[in-house]
Amino acid sequence: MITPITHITAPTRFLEVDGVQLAYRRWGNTDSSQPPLLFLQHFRGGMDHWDPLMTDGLAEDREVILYNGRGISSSGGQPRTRIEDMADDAAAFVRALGLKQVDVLGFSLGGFQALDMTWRHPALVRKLMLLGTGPRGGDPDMESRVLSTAVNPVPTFDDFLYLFFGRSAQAEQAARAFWDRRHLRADQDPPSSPEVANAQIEANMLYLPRLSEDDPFAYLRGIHQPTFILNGVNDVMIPTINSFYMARNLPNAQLFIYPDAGHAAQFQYPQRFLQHVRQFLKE
Amino acid sequence: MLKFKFLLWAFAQMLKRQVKKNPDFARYIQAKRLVFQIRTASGSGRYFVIEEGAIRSHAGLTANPQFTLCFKDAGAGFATLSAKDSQAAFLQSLASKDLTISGDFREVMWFQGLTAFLQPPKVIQPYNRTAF
Repeated sequence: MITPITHITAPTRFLEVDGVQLAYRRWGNTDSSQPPLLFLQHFRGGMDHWDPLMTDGLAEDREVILYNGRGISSSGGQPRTRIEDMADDAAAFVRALGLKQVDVLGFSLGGFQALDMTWRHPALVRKLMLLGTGPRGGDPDMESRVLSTAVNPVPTFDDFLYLFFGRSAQAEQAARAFWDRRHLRADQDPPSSPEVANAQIEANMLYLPRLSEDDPFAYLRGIHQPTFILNGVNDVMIPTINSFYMARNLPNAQLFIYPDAGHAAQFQYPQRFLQHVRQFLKE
Repeated sequence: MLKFKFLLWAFAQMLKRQVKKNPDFARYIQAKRLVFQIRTASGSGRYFVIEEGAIRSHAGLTANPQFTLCFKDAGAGFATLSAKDSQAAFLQSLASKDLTISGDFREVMWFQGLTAFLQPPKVIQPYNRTAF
């Protein structure tokens, strides 16, 4: 009997793109009519920062691909300092895999990349999922505690609890369950270097100016891919209102707001998220 | 140019006043050691040293700042730093390249937290009131 490959066992592979070795893991249902689903991760995060419930759940109906961008964790090269460059790298990576089209899921800074990738390489993306993220020129008002917490050299559980989850006892319980799942894999990638944090803060800052003062979200109206937007009702990192701005301007978007949740609503309610996103992907 | 230089001096005085009158601000800088500078491309500017719970500043530039905010010219610097909505002005200047930032962006992020103490309390419009 063949043991199925999962989030815990999928081998880390490397693909050379533009002279740089990029790390990725790919597994799931290869008999599916749906394209593979590419995951783009949050600030400083890598392949081991996803929830196995989410990746394995989605891998039942399609292939899933986790990926570390340039300079991130186990990938080679210098970390990028612009979101558009990260998006172009992701597109080049997909093409180097020989794929014509993928679905893309981006969380937080990965959402910035997913949105830019869809905007800049529209033929490459079938469906788009934007979790805990925002548009270029969105509302930048994060809670001030985020400024000192998000850059802690070694992020702790309490940091993640504050940054990603709701404030109730149930939310904390869900955070602990997520934390346990996230550490199930034995051979975890090395943490990203301080240079990654530095580069990604610069990229984040340069993503915040409006493209147009009068109509900052006009660029979203040209993105026609079916889009799934999710946020918690109180995101302390990228204000929740940004999800509404995206839903109001992306012509094919639907918006989900989960209660008692923050930046990472999908990690707090993994089963609910799976049901919603499975339906979206098969529609 | 004079207005820009005066603004940088006044900024330093505002920070020093916060250390004295705002315990939260004093706590924020307590364990911090940071050297940063704000300058124009032509080389005029001021540098700031945060150390042992105190803030000092000096006219001119320093050799090894942890980060530098560099304005295209004194006019752009004055307009950005004295704007009513300073965050929007800061982002606009970044977009137009009137302002470039170099150095350690983790420290820039910490500095953002520092300047948040200088902002007047936000007025929340009725439609934007929430449970949070």
